Amino acid sequence: MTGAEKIRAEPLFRAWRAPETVVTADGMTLSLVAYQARAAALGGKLAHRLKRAGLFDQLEPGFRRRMEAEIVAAARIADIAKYELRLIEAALAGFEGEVLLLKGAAYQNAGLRAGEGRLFGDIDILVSRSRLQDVEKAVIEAGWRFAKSNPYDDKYYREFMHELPPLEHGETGGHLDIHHTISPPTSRVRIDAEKLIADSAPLKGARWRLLSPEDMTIHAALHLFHDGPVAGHLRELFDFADLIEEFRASPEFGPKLRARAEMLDAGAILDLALRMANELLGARSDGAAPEGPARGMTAVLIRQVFRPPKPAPRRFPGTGRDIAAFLLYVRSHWRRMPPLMLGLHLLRKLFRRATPSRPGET
Amino acid sequence: MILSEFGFENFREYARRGSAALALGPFNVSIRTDIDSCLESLFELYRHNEVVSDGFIDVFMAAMSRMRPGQPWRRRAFIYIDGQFDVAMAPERLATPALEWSLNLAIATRAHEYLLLHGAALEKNGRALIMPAPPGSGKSTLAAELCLRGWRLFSDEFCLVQPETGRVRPFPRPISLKNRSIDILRDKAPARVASQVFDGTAKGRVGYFLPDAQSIARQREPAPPALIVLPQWRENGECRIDPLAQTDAYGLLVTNAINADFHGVEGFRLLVGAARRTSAYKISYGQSEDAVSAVESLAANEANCEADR
Repeated sequence: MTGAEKIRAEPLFRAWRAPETVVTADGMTLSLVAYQARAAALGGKLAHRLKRAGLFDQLEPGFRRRMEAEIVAAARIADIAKYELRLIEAALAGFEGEVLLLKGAAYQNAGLRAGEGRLFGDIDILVSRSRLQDVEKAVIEAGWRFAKSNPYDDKYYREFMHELPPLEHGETGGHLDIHHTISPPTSRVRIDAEKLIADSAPLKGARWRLLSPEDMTIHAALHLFHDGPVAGHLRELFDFADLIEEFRASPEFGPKLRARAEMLDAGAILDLALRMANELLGARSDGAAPEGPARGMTAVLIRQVFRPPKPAPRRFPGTGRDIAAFLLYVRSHWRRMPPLMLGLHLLRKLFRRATPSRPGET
Repeated sequence: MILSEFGFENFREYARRGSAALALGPFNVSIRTDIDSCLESLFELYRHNEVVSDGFIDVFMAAMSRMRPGQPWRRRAFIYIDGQFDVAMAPERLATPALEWSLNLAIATRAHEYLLLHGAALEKNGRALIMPAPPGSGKSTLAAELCLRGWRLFSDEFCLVQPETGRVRPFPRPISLKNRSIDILRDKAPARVASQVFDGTAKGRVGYFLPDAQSIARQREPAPPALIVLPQWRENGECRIDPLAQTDAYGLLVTNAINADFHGVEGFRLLVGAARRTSAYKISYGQSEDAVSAVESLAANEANCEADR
C-alpha cells in the first residue's frame, strides 16, 4: 500500500468519505473512528457530518453517545468563541477600519459547514498593515496582552515572521491573533491585504467582513501547509474539504478559485491541498484542479503527519510521525532564518518547558 | 459473559494485548496492562462486569510498567488514556488506584452526553439518592453501608444525569475506602472488601468495596432522583437531620456539577428541575449506623409523601 492508500484506509478517513459505512461498521472500526476523531479534535465535525447525512438514529448506541458528547462540547466551545468575539468587537468600537474574520470565527459566523462542530481556541482577524498599530493599541487598552512575553519570542514574531505576537485576554484567557496578510512569511510573494479586503464582503448586521469564498479557501490551503508547526493540522485539511464541498454548489467557484490562486501565486499550494483533500477525504472541486495523488517530498512528509495515532500507549517520542512533523517544521522555517539562527531557535524550543495548550489549539 | 467466568488467564492474555474490555455502566472501557498485581486486583474488582467482545470502546486505558527515568531499578506504572501519557505515574504496586483515578478523569472529560455531578448515587424502590459531597464527608463509607442495606449502587463518584429525562444512570464501580473505613467495612462484610489494600497513596490507605452482582447486572436501569443528602461526618458527632431549602439543594448540585458549563442553559434548567423535584437534607453524624438509619427513614418518608401527592 502506498502512503496515501494507508491513510485512506484509516477508519476516520473512510468514515468521512463514506459516512453511511459507519452504520454497519463493526465494534473495533467504530472505536477507532471515534478514537481518531478525538485525537485530532475532529469529533464535533464528524458528528455534524453524520447528522447532516441523516444517519444519527441508525448509529450504534455507544458510538452515538460519544458523538452526542462531541456535539455538546463543540456547542459550548462555539458559545465561548461568540462571547470572545463580542469582547473584541467592543474593544474595536472606536476603530473604523475594515476587520476581517478568518478561519474558525469566519466559518462560524458565516454559518458554513466548516464551522459546525469545530473546536477552536484562537480568534483570527485580518486588518490592513497600515492600521496594525491602531488595532494593537485598542485591544491592549481593552485588556489583551501579548502571550509570548519574553523578548526572544517577541523579536521572533515581529522581525522574522513580521507578525504581531499572539494576544491573550487578561481575564478570559481568550487567544487573539491579528494578521495583516494570509500568506505565510515563507512565501516568495506577499499577498497584499488590500487585495483581500477589496474582495471581501461584509457580514450581514455585523461590523466584521469575510474573505471571499475563494480567498477563504486559499487561506485554508496556505494555512494547512505552511503556517508554523504542521503537526496537528489534520483538522485544517478537513476544514478545507468542507469549504470546497460547500462552495461547489456554485458552478463558477472552481474556475474562480483557480484563477485567484494563480493571481496570488498560491497555485502550487492549492494544487497540493486539492489533491490531498480529494485522495484522502474524497472532496472535489469542479474546475479548480485535476484530481490525482499528490506527489513530492512535502506530500510524503505531510501524509506521515496526517497518520492518525493508535490507541496503544506510545512508547518513544521518535515515531515516524514526530520525525516528519519535525522535518516539516524545520522546512517551514528554513527560508525565514539563516541556518545558524534556525539551529539556535530549534534548540531553544527543544529545551523550553512546554506551555499548556487550550483545547482545540494546535 | 462476566469477568469471573471469563477467567483470569484469559483476562491476563487479553489485557496484555490491549484487547480486554469491560462494560462499566454505559461505558465500554478497554484495559491494557502488563502489571500482574494490577491484573489480579482488577480481576477481583470487576468480577461481575461483562467482558466486551467486538463492541464499541469508549476509552482506551492502559497501565504499563516502565522504568523510572534516571532510576532503572525502580519500576513505575505509567497510566495512559487513549494512548496518551500525561496523566499519572505511580509506583508499580499502586497501579490499580492510579488507573481507577485516571478512569474517573477520562470519564469526567469525555462523557458530556450526560450532566455529570460529583457525588455518590444509589437507588431503592425506583428512586435515586444523590449525595453530592466533597472528599472527607464520609459519603463513600456511607454509600458502602447503604449497599449492605440493599441499596443498588449507581456510583460513589459520579452521578450521570441524562439531559433528556433528568434520570440518573448507573456507573457502578468499586467504592474507594480510606484508612479506618476499610477495617470497619471489612469487619461488617469481609467478602465485600477486596483483598488488596494500597498503602502510601496521597490519601493514605486505600481499599475497595465491591459492588454486588445485582448492581452490576442492572447497570442499564436508570432512576429519577428523589432524595438529596449532604452527609457531614464529625468525630463523635450527634446525629442531626436538617432539611435544606430548594435553593440550597440547587447550590449543592451546581457546586458539584463537573461539566455544567458544557450544558449551558439546558444544564441550568436540569439542575433547577432536580432541586424542585427532590427533597434535600443535611445529615450530620458521628456513627455511620445513625446516618444509614436516617437515610433509610428519609427515603421511606419520601416514598410515603409521593404516594400522598
